[in-house]
Amino acid sequence: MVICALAIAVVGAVGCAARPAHPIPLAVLVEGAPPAKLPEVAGLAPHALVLPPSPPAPADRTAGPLARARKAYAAGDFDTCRAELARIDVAEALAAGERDAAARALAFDAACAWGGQGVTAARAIAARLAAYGLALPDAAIAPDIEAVIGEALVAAGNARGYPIAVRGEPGARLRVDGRPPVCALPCTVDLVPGDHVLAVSADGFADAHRQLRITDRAEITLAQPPADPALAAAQWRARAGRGLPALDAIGARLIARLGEPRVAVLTGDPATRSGALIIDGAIAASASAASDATLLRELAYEAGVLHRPTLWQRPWFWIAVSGVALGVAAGIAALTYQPTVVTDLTL
Amino acid sequence: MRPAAALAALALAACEDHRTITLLLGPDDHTLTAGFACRAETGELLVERSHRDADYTFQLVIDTVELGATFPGCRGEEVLAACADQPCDLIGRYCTTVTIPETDIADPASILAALHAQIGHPSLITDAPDQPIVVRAVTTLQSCAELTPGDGSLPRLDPDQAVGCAYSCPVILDDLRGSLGLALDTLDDHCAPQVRQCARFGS
Repeated sequence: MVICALAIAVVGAVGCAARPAHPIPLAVLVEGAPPAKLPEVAGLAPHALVLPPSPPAPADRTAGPLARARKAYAAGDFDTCRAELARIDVAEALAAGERDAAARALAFDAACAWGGQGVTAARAIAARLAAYGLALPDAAIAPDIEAVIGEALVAAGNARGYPIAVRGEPGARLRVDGRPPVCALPCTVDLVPGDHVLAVSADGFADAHRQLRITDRAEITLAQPPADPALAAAQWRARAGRGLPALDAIGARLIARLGEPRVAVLTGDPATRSGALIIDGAIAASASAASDATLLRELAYEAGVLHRPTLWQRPWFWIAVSGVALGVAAGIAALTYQPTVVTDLTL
Repeated sequence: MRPAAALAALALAACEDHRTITLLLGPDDHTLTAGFACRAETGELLVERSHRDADYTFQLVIDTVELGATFPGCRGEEVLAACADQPCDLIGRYCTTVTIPETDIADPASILAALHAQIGHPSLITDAPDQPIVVRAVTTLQSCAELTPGDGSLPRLDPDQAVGCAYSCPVILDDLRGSLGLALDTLDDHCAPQVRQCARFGS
């Protein structure tokens, strides 16, 4: 009976915990300080995932030409002034939110055009500045061109706007003429006639902008290319920096852009870890555990990466069965035990 | 190693139930069975044959007879019938000489007291067999040297020299508790033939 119970324990120990034939690769991204060594989990081959460095900040491409244009304007060299200002992509500056730089560039451009006797061009530039809704910059330009710009601003302020329906990646933030985001796509904005710059930004995608001239109501679509891994990592970090959850659907989509099919993201203190397993851009499982190994195993079970062992495949089940068998055996032995009787006969 | 061996011995000992059965030479420990007070056809007490000077001297022989696989009833007829079908072997014998003063011979309690005063409470069987046996007590004029020659053989008793005899019911001692009484299957004290038959029983 006791041998039977022990045999049950041995068979159970050998048979329990089915594992895949080959360990399944699993990228592990640890928020904060990564552990020195990733835990070993049967059936999984975890490897550390390191976020690529953030792309460098774009260089200031407006300051140099603006300084040189101002200098040329002061010297009366209007051609050089306009040539320098032509190096500045005003639309790009507005898409980046640099409204002050754009206003200065357009104001100097108008002033240099005016100084070069290009009155029509100067008025057109002033109208463009006004359509963008830019303020007259605090710059040293001639009073007459200031008056022209002021007239353009008044005209733009009195103009009737047209509804412009903008489509693109759902939820993308729309910025108009470098202002702070006004709405999330799809949405409709009222724009006065003239030139405008529409820019969109969304996590998981590269920023995009488009310059267009509004003459009537219109419907436009702004397409955004998917973010490359470096940009996705930067956006993921930026979300965390803004206090947004690192492991929501958008965070999962950003992690998926890193190129790993399965990523386990561990957050929190090592003693109270929580995490999520992201598979193909979606959160397949989330869990909390006291140790990284337990957390990874639970995530793998929850997401179906590993098959959770059935009751009879768990060591504790066989330990319990063996214990019960031993108990029953001991009980039966106790109930049926008959000691050897040794009887003596004396007179 | 020694502690392990000691532990094993202790466990083995713990698995043994050691019992002791007391043999009574009568229905209880104060009464002597009628088998030791039988008279011959002449009316003479058989025990008178052991009268020497002022004492009665005889040998008390206690035999253990194995009944094999059968478990007959208590009556002599049933025991003899069982032993007719198969040999009922003597497997143990205790023999000692007893001297009873003639002043005590008429009182069974005195006889028992004198008996125990002389021989105490000797061990008759150690580790009884786990099968039916009959215990027989015979008082005889045969000497212990004759009956226990020392070569391992157990000679049969001479019925003509027996002066008293009694036997137990067939019993498996391991199943018994307390005491085992002896008796002779007789209805009066003219039981010399029964004594002879009793002493003859067993091969």
